[in-house]
Amino acid sequence: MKGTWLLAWRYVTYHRWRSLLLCLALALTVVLPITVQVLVGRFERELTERADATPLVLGAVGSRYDLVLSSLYFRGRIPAPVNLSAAEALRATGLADAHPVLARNTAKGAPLVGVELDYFAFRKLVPKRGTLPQMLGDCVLGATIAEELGLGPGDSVLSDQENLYDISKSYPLKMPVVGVLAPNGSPDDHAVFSDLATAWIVEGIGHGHRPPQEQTDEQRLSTEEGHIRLNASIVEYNEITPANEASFHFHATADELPLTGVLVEPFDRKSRTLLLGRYRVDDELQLLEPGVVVQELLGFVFRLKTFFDANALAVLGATILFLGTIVLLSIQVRRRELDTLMKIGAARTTLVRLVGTELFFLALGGAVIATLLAFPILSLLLQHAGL
Amino acid sequence: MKGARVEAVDLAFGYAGDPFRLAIPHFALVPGEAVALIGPSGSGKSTLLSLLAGILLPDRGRVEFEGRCWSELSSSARRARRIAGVGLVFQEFELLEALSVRENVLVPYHVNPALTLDPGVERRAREIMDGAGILPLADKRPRSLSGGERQRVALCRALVAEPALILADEPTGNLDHATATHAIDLLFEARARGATLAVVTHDEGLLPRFDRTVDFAPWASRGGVPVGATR
Repeated sequence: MKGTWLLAWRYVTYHRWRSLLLCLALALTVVLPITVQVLVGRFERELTERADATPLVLGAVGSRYDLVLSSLYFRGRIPAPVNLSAAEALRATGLADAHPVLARNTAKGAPLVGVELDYFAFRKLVPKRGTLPQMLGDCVLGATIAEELGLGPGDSVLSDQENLYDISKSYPLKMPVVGVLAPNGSPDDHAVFSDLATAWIVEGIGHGHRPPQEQTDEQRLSTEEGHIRLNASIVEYNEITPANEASFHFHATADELPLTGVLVEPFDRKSRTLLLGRYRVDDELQLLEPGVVVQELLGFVFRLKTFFDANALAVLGATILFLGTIVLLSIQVRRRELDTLMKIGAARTTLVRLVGTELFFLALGGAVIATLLAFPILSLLLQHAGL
Repeated sequence: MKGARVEAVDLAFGYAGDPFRLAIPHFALVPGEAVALIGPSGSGKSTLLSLLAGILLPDRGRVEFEGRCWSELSSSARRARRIAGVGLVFQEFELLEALSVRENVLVPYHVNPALTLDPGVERRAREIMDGAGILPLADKRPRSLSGGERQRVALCRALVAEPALILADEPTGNLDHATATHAIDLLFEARARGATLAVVTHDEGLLPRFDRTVDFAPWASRGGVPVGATR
């Protein structure tokens, strides 16, 4: 038995380039399905965990998927906005807690998410360094984005300019980083958080500038009964400081302050049922169960994966057939060598074991290469997918 | 070591679909003798060696090795007796390129569970390689050896299990005279230790060293015509 292992090992290593090619062929055949399997598993786990941790989500009528993906995962198309007054109305029912979320902008390429402080408690997010937002304009970074950007407390980030050539849009806001959150393996790790008011300022709904009385005549359009109207040439503050904080204000009411969605935490099962029933007949709002929506979404993914699995299986089958052909051809080429082994006393079963052991070494080599390849590929794909 | 007795009686053999026929009324090797087998190409010398070694079985007649007929044994029993008692040397050396010289010499022990590779065997292999002058080449691959060195490795492989019968198929066919003499010397050293020796050869200069010479020509025919008749 030991001799067979030695002979097989010697044969495989003697023909090292051919063996390496075969190992690579095997590795490539298995590495992609394995990677996809892991990726889909991670994708499913993350989606499901997040959805299960969010009992209900309230938003404007429209795409169910957009609302859930934007409110929970801060990705996908931005849904039609729901107003702050909807969140306040929900709270007023006394049936649930509401956690408004505004995720329509970005900072340094990461989602800039405006939330209230209780969002952090709801998601069990705690600062690893620094603090949670203390005042208007503060932001905290998710663990991954902080690491990627190399930023921490004491640094600052600029919100991303929506449209460089549209001067009517708001200026980028410089936000001091006051904390970095501990990682929790969720989309929160990839986001920049501020309070809702800061997010509205980034939206352009609120702003700060010198008092109207101090503006030049060219910037004053009219003065009527103490109301001064200014034109668009006034210079807005692009950073909120203790000195100018008081000058920031909003040109909107609660009915006009937009949200992406409202995460809803019913107090009990009955409240949940009542809320679901109440919003089922609402023409403007929809209350969704994220778990159900995500399962629908995963249904599409798994249907797609079934085709991919079938394809991978076909490729694996073809590779095995090719490998079988190579082995048969190799036996033909080695006929004389195998005959010699038989003449000097090897049984036919010994030769079968010898070829089998060689295949085992090739498969083992393929598995090792596949494992080595899987890590960087997976890491790359996970990074690309933001998982 | 005691040499083996081999006897072929009323032997007939042919390959399927081939007009070649080998018919031997009687042929025997007595223990310890050295016999040269000569004859024209295609007269069945290599076939006879395979029949004597139990690799091939005759269509008719008997080939007895140490009193047991090969045909009456199972394939595993034949293999066990061949491993234990017969050393084979091939004209083309038939070394395994993936193995080192040392591993080639010991290859019978790697493919036969019946043979145990112990320190005694390894010591004997070293002594045989030393005697053949190839010990310094023990870790080299066959492709880096000369023809003579390769043949000496093949001879060492045949001798390492100390067989009672050595069957060599033109062991000097691809060698120059000096190298051929060295190779034959190795075979005769084994014979001196008691082994029975049968060597197929075309080298008439070597014949005086053998106890007797057997000409194959009368025993082989092709399509009913004696092979020797075309010579």
